[in-house]
Amino acid sequence: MSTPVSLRGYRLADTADLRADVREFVAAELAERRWSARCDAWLLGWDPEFSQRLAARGWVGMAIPQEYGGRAAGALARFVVTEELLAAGAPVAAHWIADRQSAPQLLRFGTEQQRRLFLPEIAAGRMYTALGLSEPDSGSDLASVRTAATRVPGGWRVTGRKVWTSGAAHAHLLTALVRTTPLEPGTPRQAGLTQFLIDFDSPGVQVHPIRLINGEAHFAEVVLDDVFVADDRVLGTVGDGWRQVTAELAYERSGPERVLTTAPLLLAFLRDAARTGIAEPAALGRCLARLSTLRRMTASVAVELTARRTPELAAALAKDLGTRFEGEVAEVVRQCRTDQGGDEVSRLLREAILQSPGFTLRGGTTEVLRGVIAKGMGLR
Amino acid sequence: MRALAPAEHLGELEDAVDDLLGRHDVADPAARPALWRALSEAGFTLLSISERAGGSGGDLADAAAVLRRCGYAGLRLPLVETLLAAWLCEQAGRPIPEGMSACGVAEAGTAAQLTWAGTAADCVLLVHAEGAYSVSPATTVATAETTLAGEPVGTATAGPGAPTSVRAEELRLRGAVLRAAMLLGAAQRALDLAVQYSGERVQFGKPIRAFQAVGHLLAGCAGQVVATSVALDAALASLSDPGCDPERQEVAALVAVVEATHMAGRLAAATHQVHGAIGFTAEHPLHLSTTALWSWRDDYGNEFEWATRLARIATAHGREAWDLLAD
Ligand SMILES: Cc1cc2nc3c(=O)[nH]c(=O)nc-3n(C[C@H](O)[C@H](O)[C@H](O)COP(=O)(O)OP(=O)(O)OC[C@H]3O[C@@H](n4cnc5c(N)ncnc54)[C@H](O)[C@@H]3O)c2cc1C
Repeated sequence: MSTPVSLRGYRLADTADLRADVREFVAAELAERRWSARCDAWLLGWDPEFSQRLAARGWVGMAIPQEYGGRAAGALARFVVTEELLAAGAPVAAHWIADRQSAPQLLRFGTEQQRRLFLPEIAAGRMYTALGLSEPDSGSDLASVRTAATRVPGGWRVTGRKVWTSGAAHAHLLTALVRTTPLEPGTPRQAGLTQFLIDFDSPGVQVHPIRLINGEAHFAEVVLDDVFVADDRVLGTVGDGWRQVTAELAYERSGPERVLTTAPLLLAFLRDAARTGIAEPAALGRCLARLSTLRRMTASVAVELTARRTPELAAALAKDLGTRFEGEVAEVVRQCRTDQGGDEVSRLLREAILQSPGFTLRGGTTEVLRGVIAKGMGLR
Repeated sequence: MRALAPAEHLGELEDAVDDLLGRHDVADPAARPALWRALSEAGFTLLSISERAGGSGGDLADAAAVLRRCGYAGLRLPLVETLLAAWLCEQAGRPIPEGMSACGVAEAGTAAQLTWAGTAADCVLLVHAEGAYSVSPATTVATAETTLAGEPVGTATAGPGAPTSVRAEELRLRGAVLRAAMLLGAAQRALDLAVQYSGERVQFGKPIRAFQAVGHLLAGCAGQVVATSVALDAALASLSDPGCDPERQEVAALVAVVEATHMAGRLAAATHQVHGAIGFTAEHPLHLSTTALWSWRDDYGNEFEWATRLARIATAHGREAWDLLAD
């Protein structure tokens, strides 16, 4: 299109064997009743043993090179495994952020020592990370973060508060965005920020779990009180934190989890629909068409990312459409179901509705994404 | 996994079409016959029809590239109809029409409200009688009506035909996929006009694109257009792949036409909104795109019908429909 937004679909046919392997694994897990499907399982389904069983199959750290303990299976293989696990509603939350975000970041910006230390543990499904970006007064306006570090011999001392930190209660490492150069009038706010890798068991780190509306605590407030961070735990370059964080946004925004959070509900509904009937087939058909399109769009961004391009605009488009779709699924299932029984569909529907406010907030709100798209189209 | 990235030649093909269209006054109905001759001589009207049958060769992606650019330019000519007529004739082993053709499905031997019937030189009908289908040339009469897009309408009556294995649903879905390419072109044009205008029109002392509400509206349009484009590329690749399972082809085609027909009305409404009153006038070119969007989305079926058909197929597969929804 002449408006500068483009994305091409990908055909996933050649990965059918891998899909079948993952499905067989999932079926065996379900047969042994090790877990049951959940919506938003990449936030709600924290299960370290599952992560390790998955890793034993080679399905964690798939994009990590072999020299660091990974499988070097490539982004598309990872995409397929991720799609299948999300569709199944499998408990992938524990290793999620480490696998999706920290591993590529370490590969791109980390020191050799950091890579050797962390990547094999991530690939083994044993090491979990959390993202320390948001603060009480910094949400969409991320460059306003106030958590600050001062230079001390051999490292830094960090003080401040992070909030909404997913997985903080059980994760090992916090990737925190911190101000290392005090804000001077006239200098851009994006300058002077640095990313630190902070051990959750460092002295001065406190984690206060925060309950979601479903009553469960999956994110937390993280208080950093004069926490010492050694120089070898700086990620990338001091002062380059903003660029590094925005470079990772495409990973955070474009994955299948921005489309498939409620797929377990939709698939459970489809499984039953032949028996129960569908009240509004046209609404269901539209929803399925969009699912198909979004799967192709996210596959396409996954490929762009392997080519080391940063398809920021395409990722924002996919996330805007995808996360709105995730909420739509609950509405469409409500509209289409003909019985209201206490079955799995009801349970997943309830879960989808209660989780839905988060879909269009986390990882950049819909409004912020629309701004990114508008900018990419040359409108601002 | 294969990329559906366009072959290099598609870009060249699109440039050649743009070049040709640029030499004609596309909006002038009087210029239509000359424009058709030029398109036909360039071999653009019979792409995807084999050379053996008298077509120009190439595949559906080539045909769709031409249709997309013609849709972008606001063309009103029976490009889709002629392609369908030629395809029906090719399948039934009949000679293909030489010039413009109308095409449609006839129950009980006639097709009413058929676009281009009576205006195009030829008309080919897929006739449904006693559970079987045949392909028939038709006699036609134009009526005084036009479609929302201003295209002529007529009535067609089937003559003696040849049997065919093509069924009405197949023809209609193929027509809708080809039409989706034109819809995509029309939508891209409407969006480009709106983006451009939003930078030129000044209110409250600034270009209206500076208002976040306008930017978000246009960003939403871009998402719809990209979704249609991704879905259409996938459908064309699937339909052009002889090894592809017919049900998968049908699903890929349905996904594309659901996306395109759903997008059409939204793009028309949003791009008019951005243009204010000026876009509502006959002088402004926007309506060439928006009347096409409103009209073409109802050709061969509509979004509710396509979506229902997709839902029925998916439901028959239960949870395994997941596999049908991306290939
Ligand atoms: C489930 C969940 C998990 C999360 N996990 C993490 C995590 O692990 N780590 C982390 O750091 N953060 C996490 N977050 C936080 C998330 O990144 C923020 O919620 C998000 O960036 C928005 O910030 P906010 O909630 O402060 O909303 P605000 O930024 O205060 O926004 C409130 C409203 O104002 C709108 N708004 C704000 N600015 C603009 C603008 N310029 N134009 C138009 N509208 C605007 C927003 O779109 C929104 O509608 C998580 C959030 C959720 C819901």
